[in-house]
Amino acid sequence: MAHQNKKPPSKLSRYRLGIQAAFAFLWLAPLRMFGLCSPVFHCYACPLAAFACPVGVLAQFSALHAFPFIALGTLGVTGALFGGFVCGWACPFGLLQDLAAKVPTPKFELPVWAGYFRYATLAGLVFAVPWFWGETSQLFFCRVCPAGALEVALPGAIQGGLAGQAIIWPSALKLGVTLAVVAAMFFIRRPWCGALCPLGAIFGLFSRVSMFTVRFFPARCSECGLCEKTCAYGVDSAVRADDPRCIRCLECARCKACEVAPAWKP
Amino acid sequence: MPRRAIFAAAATIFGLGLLVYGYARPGLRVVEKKEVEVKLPPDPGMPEGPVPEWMDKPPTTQKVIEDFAATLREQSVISLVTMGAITRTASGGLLVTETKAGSPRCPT
Repeated sequence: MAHQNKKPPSKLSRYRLGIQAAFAFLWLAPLRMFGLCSPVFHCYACPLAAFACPVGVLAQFSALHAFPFIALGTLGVTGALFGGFVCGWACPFGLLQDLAAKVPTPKFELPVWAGYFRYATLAGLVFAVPWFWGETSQLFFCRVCPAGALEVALPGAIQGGLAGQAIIWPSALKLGVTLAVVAAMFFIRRPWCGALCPLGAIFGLFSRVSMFTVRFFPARCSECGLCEKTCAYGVDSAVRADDPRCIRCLECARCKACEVAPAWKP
Repeated sequence: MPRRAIFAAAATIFGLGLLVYGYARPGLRVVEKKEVEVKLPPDPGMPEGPVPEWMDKPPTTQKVIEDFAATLREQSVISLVTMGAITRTASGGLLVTETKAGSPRCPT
């Protein structure tokens, strides 16, 4: 009976890559929207970046002992409305990982407990280290951030080298983190999101309360297991459709038992 | 209406409140990019022109720049002045034209 429960992927799902690319263009287009904070993970130091990175803002404000009204407001609004959809559909670093995952290499799954490291990154490197040791600490989040390395530090080093200037390399720690994340992208789907992303931790906290989410309707379930098989992130929608690891890629929505639904729908 | 919808609506309104207040209040909003000039006493240890490698400057110059950064922070203009390309102007001021990348101090 399993085949009867299968439906084609949603129209939106087919265009996910295109929508991600459009959002990447929005965040990195030279719009010069300075003073605005995006809800996605990217480096504001990138010469193209039009919006500030919320994680960078949180870390900087923590170092300044100031309250980040705008960053928290941006994350609060987008998280409460869309939750993990932001990670799956709008994040440029997520897009990069999705593209790397298309390379036909053996893929491994992260253990469920790896997701808790995201909260440690958020509490430690984004809040505690900047608060107590300031932005000059080598463990200040931006100093180890792979998005900063890929968008700014490494291109800057290459550009400087080509221009005959002194090459300013990122720290060994930052290079190590970046190389590890980039290598892992080819063998694990979204390793950064699944194990270390502090923004993913924040949106994960919103996953159970967001207005729009993927919902599982038990009455429609024929226990075919399709939703679990199609999920690349090890989420079993039949058990917990609003799992904090879910990026709302909508692959599970191929099954009639799962669909995007607003919270007010009974 | 389900509890989830009520909670999501409340969180959205709270977030909007933070956003509106964040933009309405004076002071630092995000890590901003602005052109700011602050007049400081002339410093013989610091020549006119770009000061990109300020970490390697003599202590007196570094003190001037740190004071400059502190001034901007007190004015809540920008937070990442140390990331910027700082220029010593002919009038004896310091000009920040780029507060994002371009300096060895940039955490990236």
